Parts: sequence; C-alpha cells; structure tokens
Amino acid sequence: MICKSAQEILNSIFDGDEHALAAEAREHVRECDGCREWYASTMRALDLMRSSPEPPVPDIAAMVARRLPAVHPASVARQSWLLAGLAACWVIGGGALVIGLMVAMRWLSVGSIVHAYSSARTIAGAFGGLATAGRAVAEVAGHVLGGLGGAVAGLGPVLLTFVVIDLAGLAIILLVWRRRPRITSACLI
Amino acid sequence: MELSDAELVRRCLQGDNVSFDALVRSYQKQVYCFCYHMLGIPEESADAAQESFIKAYYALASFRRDARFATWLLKIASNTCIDRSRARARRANAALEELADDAAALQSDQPTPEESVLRGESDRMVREAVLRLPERHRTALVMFHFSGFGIREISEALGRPENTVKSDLRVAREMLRRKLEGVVTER
Repeated sequence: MICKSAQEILNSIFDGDEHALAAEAREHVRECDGCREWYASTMRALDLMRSSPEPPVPDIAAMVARRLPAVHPASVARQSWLLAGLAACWVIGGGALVIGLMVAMRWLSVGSIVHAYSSARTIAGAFGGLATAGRAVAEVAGHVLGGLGGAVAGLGPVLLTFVVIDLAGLAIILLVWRRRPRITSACLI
Repeated sequence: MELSDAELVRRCLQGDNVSFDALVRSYQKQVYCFCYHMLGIPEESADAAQESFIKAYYALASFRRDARFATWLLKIASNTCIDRSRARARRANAALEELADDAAALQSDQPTPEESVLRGESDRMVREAVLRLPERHRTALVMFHFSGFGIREISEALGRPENTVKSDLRVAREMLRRKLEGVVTER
C-alpha cells in the first residue's frame, strides 16, 4: 500500500467511517516512518483539541429572554385572523337578525293587521252595537295570533341560520380563549 | 415529562415563551461553545450565541418538524459566526490579540508553574490554530470535533455534500496538524 492510500483510509476512519482496508493501512503506518510520524502528529493534534477545556458558559437563556417579545409574532398573527373571523361572524349574524326582524314586522303589519281590520269591519257591519264588540275583539286577536304564528314559521330558516352562525362565533371565541398567550415569568424577566 | 423539541417549538409558536426558554437552556452550552471555538472571544461568543437564538426565535415558523433542532440551530449559529468573523476580519486580528492576553493572564494566575503554564499554553495554541483555519474548514472542524456532529448532520447544517464535508475536514485536520506539530503535549 502506498502512503497516500494509507493516509486516505486513516482519514476516513477519523471521519467515523469503517474501512475494509483499515488493518492494511495500520500495518503500513507501522512500517513506514513518514506515515508513522504523520499519524502520530495528527493524533496529537486531535488529542489536544479534545482535551482543551470547555469555556464557562454564561446564562444565555436570561440574556435571550430579555430581548424577546411577550409572545411569538406567529401566535399574534393567528389570533388576529381568529378575531377577524369572529368579527365577521358577528356582523353576519347581526345582519341575519335584522333581516329576521324586518320580515317579522312585515308579516305582522301587513298580514295580521289587515286581516284583523277587515274582520272587525265585517263583524261590526253585520251585527252592529257593543254587544258584538267582544266577538270582534276575539276575531281580531285570533288573526293577530295567526299572523304571528305565520311570521314565526316564515322566520324559521332565518333564525336557524342566525343560531348556527352565532354558535360558530361562540366556538371561535372558545378557541381563542384556550389558545390565548400566557404571560409567564420568562416574559417578565 | 420531557417534551420533544418539536413540541416545544409548536408551543412557542402558539405564544408560550417558556417553551422557547426551555429550548435555549437545552442548547445554550452547545451553541455558546460552537461560537467560542469559531470566534475565540468570550464576550463576542456570548453575543453571537444570543443573536443565534433570537434569529432562531423569529424563524421558528420555518423550522421543519422532521428536522433535528440542534442541526437547524447550529446552521443559524454558523451563519452568525461567519458574518461576525467577516466583519471582524476588516479590523485587526482581535481574537488572536485577545488570546495572547488570555495566555498572559493564565500564566500569571497559575500557582504551580510548569505544568499549568504548559497546559495553558497548549490550550491557547490549539484555540489559536483553530481560529487561524479558513472559515470553511474551521466550521466543519468545530462542528465535528467540538460539537460532536456527524458528517451527515454537518452536511445538512452547512448545505454541503457529505464528500465535500469530509474533504473540508481532512484539509482542516492537516492544517491543524502542521500548526500544532511543535506543541508540547505533556499534561
């Protein structure tokens, strides 16, 4: 084996590799003065490096903690998105509520009041007098209640949407609450 | 219960800074020693280590969970040290001058003269020899022999092929061998 090959093999052993010709290379080093000197001085350099003392380590963690923000920016960004989503849900939910109320008002005013008025007129015209007033009032009340029932029935899908959206909003609030940043002693150092 | 590095990273990204504090405490010795062997000056090494952790903190979202945190962190520390030593190269050989001061201090501090002086002297010469290596070779050598990284991890951290890392290490060892040839080794 030539010197260059032997040194190549020994270098790969220094790198932590296994080598099939390791024994041969070592044999060469034993016989060759130049390679023996090379190997000895390399080992000496490595030993010196390994045995050099470790420096005392300062408290880097405390120094770093002083320079960090209270929470990681990534978590703040995520919370901003969640809050934006929450706000959107509430706006949509509020819109649904307003629409629902408008529909209800419309049903009540147009439907039942007109019905009630016409019924009252019919009854009063047919019988006249205060004696029939009670029946007229009962008739009007019946129409009002009927109109209200119809209004509620018509509002069903709107109310359902509103409930679903607001439940989603509630879930988002809970999520934000659970993942809220915790102010800890490390943040206060 | 000991949490994995990936879990600590996840918690930190959710706003829990205590998790990052735990990561810093786990790796501060490794990062500081790496910086120390790269830069040679304790104060500057502490600054470089801090800077590395701060950079890591802000880049935490880009950390791949399947990667090893130590490798990723030392890559950042290595870039930080390289930037700092390049900036310093414009100035005088500050680290080497400081080393000479350290050696003088060491010699004057030691009560038993001969052995202690020899040890202090050889340690100083090792540090000086490492610091005088070209940046590329120094990084590979420090990672391998001081930080205990394997060839594959160094290859990942430095973004160099494994064979290139091996070649860098070989050259570094050879340069170091020549520089330290005359150093007394009795300890």
